[in-house]
Amino acid sequence: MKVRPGLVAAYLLGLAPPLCEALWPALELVQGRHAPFVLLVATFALAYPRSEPVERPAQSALYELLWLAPPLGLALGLDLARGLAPLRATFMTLGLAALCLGWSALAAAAARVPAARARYRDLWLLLGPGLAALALALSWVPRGAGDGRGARLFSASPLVLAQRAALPGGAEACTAFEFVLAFLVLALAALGTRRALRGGAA
Amino acid sequence: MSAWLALTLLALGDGNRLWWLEVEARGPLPEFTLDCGADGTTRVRGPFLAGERRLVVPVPVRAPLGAQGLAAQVLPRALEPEVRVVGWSAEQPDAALEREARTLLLRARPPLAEAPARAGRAEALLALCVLPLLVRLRRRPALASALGLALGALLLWRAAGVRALPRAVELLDVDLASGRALLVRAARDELALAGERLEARPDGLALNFEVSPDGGLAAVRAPGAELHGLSRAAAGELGPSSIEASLEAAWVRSPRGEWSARGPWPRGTPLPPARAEGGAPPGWLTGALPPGVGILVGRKVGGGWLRATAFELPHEESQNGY
Repeated sequence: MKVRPGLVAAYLLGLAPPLCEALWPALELVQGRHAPFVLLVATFALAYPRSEPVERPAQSALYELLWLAPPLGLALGLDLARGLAPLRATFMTLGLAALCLGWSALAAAAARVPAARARYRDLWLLLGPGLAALALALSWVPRGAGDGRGARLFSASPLVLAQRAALPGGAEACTAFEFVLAFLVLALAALGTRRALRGGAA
Repeated sequence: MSAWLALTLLALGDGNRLWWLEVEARGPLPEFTLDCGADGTTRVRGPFLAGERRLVVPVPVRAPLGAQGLAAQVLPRALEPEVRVVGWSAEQPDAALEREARTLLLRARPPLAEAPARAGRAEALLALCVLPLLVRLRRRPALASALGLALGALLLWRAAGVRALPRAVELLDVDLASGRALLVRAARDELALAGERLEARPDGLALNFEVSPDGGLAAVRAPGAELHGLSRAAAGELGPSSIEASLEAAWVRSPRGEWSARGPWPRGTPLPPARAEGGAPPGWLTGALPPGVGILVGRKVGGGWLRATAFELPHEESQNGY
């Protein structure tokens, strides 16, 4: 397994808030935010289109996710200690981790065929950072346009979903609909990439 | 009716757990303890040198009849034979507090706050120190993943068991009409005391005082108790254009009863205008306040709360019907 610099950066980013708060008692970094989901925002960012082929994509993605388990476990434990309901915490963490895993595996698989890599790059850019950028842009336009029920559609991007979940009270506000939508979009991206993979193989 | 009942209860001195007692200690003595039965103890730390010394020390007794009823109260007992309890001190600060700040004593006390749970240093440093090991194990990904998973589970279990730490809350309660102010400090389990009155909930808990050698108060400890320490304070200079402390967030109630958020109010600047955002002030600050007068409540920069009644709004706002 190749340890990508991004993986080490995500590990340190996830560990930084609880570590700094433990070392400097006067410091309050988390302030009601949900730290595990901050880490999962960074983990999803690691599913960027890869250039080097990976032998076993799913296994490699799983290894990377488990590699991040220490900061994730610490942040999740603190969230539970701060009062987040255990069932919701489990549901949110497993759901977001599965989304990160799916996208990472897809990125690793698409790296084997140039056409699939290009397809994945477009899909990832559109459905990941693209949707997040659109959500951000809409939150700047006059009050009310960027919030409400319509804003939940942007949770199709795991980047938006994890960021929304990380906000104070965000984990409590996330709905199953948002997860269904995010998994649906992942399935669509997988279908699109698979076609390109088959075409490239033929 | 309820106000009359509250005034009656206050006159009876039901809530105070801080009464002063005169004792004589014959040294040399390392320390001594006063036993107040079910109400708790006072431990006076020495050492006391050879000779006789008269001290006035606080005791956590409950006195349902207040300062007037102390004479009928059973005196606490000294556990050491070298110490003799003389009697109740003629000066009871709570009696003066009740005389001077009775209306302020009737107001709602600040609720207790808890600092959010934090990771232990050992757990956080363990997660940091294991990172180089995980990098070294890159050629054995299954082992690295298993190690990561095991450590993640351990840290999850350890962190989930962290208890939130109690955080002391401070409120400066001011009545601008009379120029009197009350400083209220709230904490759970333990409170450093320098006040004139101490209230503890739930009622009937045993309190343990630790007193320093000079007779001054050091701390009160009572696991599971909500403790409120009250003392008189200076009202300070407070008006529409000047406040003693900078406020992170301020809310103002007009004499008509309309609340408006004012946002941050830096020291020495005029009262900011009303703003749409800012929300409502915390409910505990605004309950049971006198009608028909202006009120200012706010959160101080650096911690603590301020509540001031008989606050005068700037002239132009009063003209605009605020």
